[in-house]
Amino acid sequence: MKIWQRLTVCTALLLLALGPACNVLAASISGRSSTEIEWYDDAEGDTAMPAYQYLMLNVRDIDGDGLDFRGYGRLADDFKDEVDIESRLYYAYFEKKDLIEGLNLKFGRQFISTTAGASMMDGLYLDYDNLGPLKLALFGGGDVAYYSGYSADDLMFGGELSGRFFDSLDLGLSYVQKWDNGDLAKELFGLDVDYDFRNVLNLYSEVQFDYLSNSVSYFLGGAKYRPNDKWGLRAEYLYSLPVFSATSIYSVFAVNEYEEVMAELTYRIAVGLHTFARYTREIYPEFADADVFEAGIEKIRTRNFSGYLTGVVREDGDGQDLMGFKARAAYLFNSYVQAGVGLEVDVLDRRIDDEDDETTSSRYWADVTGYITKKINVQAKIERVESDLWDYYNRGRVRLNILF
Amino acid sequence: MIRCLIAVMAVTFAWALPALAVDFDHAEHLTTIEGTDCATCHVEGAQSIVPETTACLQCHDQDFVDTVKMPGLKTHGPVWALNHRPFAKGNTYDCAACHQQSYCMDCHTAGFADEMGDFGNNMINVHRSDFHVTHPIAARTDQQLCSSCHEPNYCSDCHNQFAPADLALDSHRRGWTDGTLDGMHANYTEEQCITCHTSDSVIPSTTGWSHSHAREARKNLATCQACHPQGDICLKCHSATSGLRVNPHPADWSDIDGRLKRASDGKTCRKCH
Repeated sequence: MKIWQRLTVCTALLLLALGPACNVLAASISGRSSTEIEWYDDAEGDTAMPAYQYLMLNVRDIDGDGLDFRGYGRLADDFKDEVDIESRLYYAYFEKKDLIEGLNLKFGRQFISTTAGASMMDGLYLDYDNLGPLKLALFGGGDVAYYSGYSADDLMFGGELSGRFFDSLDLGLSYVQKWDNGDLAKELFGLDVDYDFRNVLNLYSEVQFDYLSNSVSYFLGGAKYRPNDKWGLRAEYLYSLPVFSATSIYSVFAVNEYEEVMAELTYRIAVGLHTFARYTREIYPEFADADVFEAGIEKIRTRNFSGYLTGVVREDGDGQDLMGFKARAAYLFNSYVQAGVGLEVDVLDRRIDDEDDETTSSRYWADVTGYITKKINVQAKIERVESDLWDYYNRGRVRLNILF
Repeated sequence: MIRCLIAVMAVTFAWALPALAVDFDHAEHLTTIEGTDCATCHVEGAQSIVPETTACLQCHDQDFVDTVKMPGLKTHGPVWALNHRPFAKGNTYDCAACHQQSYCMDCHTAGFADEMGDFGNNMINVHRSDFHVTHPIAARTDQQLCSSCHEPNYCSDCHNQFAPADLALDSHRRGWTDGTLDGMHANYTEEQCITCHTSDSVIPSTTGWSHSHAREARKNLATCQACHPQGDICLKCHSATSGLRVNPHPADWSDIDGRLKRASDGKTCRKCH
């Protein structure tokens, strides 16, 4: 039996088995199944043809008392055995709210995201929100962030204390400790601040402190001014320093910080029609700074048409300039068919053998979505990527989505 | 149950009509239908984030719906993909109220960012048209941005297939050869090696390799790690017991060495010392 047949049969059996079982338990099931076949040429010029079976599954109220299950993963294999395509379990956890008053629990593989650090964790997440204005979260388990090297000794622990004060001041203090094969790899503190003044001015910041290297490894400070529904102005300052595992030799090497100053203007022309302009200055201590200008307009589909047009110009004193644009247009012809086309073109200055080289790259694609029913649709996309650096390669995908 | 919910919503919304007639207030709606699934209005599989009019008509009549103005979202602007980090990491916004974790994982996994996302690609994303060519720019800016989706050895999947001379790194271009006397070394004999390579090192004293590779490494050390995951090649010079014994530590090393040493139980230190 071919792999795609096995995938389909397994998925069908899983759904069939869960259906009656959950009916007995009075649980409700929802989710999405996506069966996808893809083909493209790899770096060696050989054609790969991976197939994926994605399944997102939500089972609600399993025990009749609010116990939920949420899962998302994929089975994958390459028909041509050209590339190493991995099956993945993105998350699969049980969730129980108000285990006791104010105490919520998640158990299983889940995505943890705090200012101190993030992880795909196999473990337990507890949060208690019955501490007046404060909320406390504790979590710990296996750190699956690095799939290839994941072992039983790769652990992560942490917690987050957060709260809202004076109606509109949000504070969060987080801590994450990561272990690599039994040794302490990272120890990070995070602080996030968000203050909203009358729904017009939003001040926000996040700081990450790397305890093992005794340095601030990340700082973001920003302000967002939104005088009305149409206009928005944002300014940000970013400071970033890489954090290496203490078990790696790279943790003892000197590194330079990266700084960035950004200003951004957004304007809503009409419902679903937005424009933006953005300026970023990239600041490097020992290299020339770079100026990046971006602007674009986007139409979110509210009726038939959707699309966008955006461009970027990057000027770099060290000779890595970039100019490019990106455009897409899609149209919903009727309730059954939407089709779209897109194009991206970039010209990058590269320094080759003491001379500058302008490398033009482009990607253009066409895609179509057929809505068989409101719960079932088929999507297909074919794209071609060309580059001065080599020649071109084609890439195609077909996907069957079933919502249930 | 659904009928009761609709009835409650209808009564509540009718009471709130004067306010709603000015502008749609999402927060107000969330309050009145608290505990109800977002899919009540944003039905699953919908073709647009803006609910279909039928969703509004569950509680309102057509005349009223026609007068409602739909303001833009305060958070999700056209460049949301680039600036959502502080809000996703902080506690001000409850992303989980509308999004499942799959929404994060569709982008925040190593692989093609649109593998389960929108076929039309995003208006703004980090990866430009042919990222194989343009990614050095992104890789040299905020390195934590790369690591939010990619593990370090993701880079080596491709970079291992390149000869150093094919990389756009000044240091590698100036100083590295394949060890043969071809190319730029064609006019030399083996006896002449010591003339330039004075310290039994592959690094010739006549080039600026030492300085330029240090600048590049400090700018983006993760790039070095992509091809040299264990850092063994660094230790040929940066060891305390062999090679050139060049100190690689930052200026404030004495302030931090204790913590790093305790963390790895001295294993990292023993690689050089």
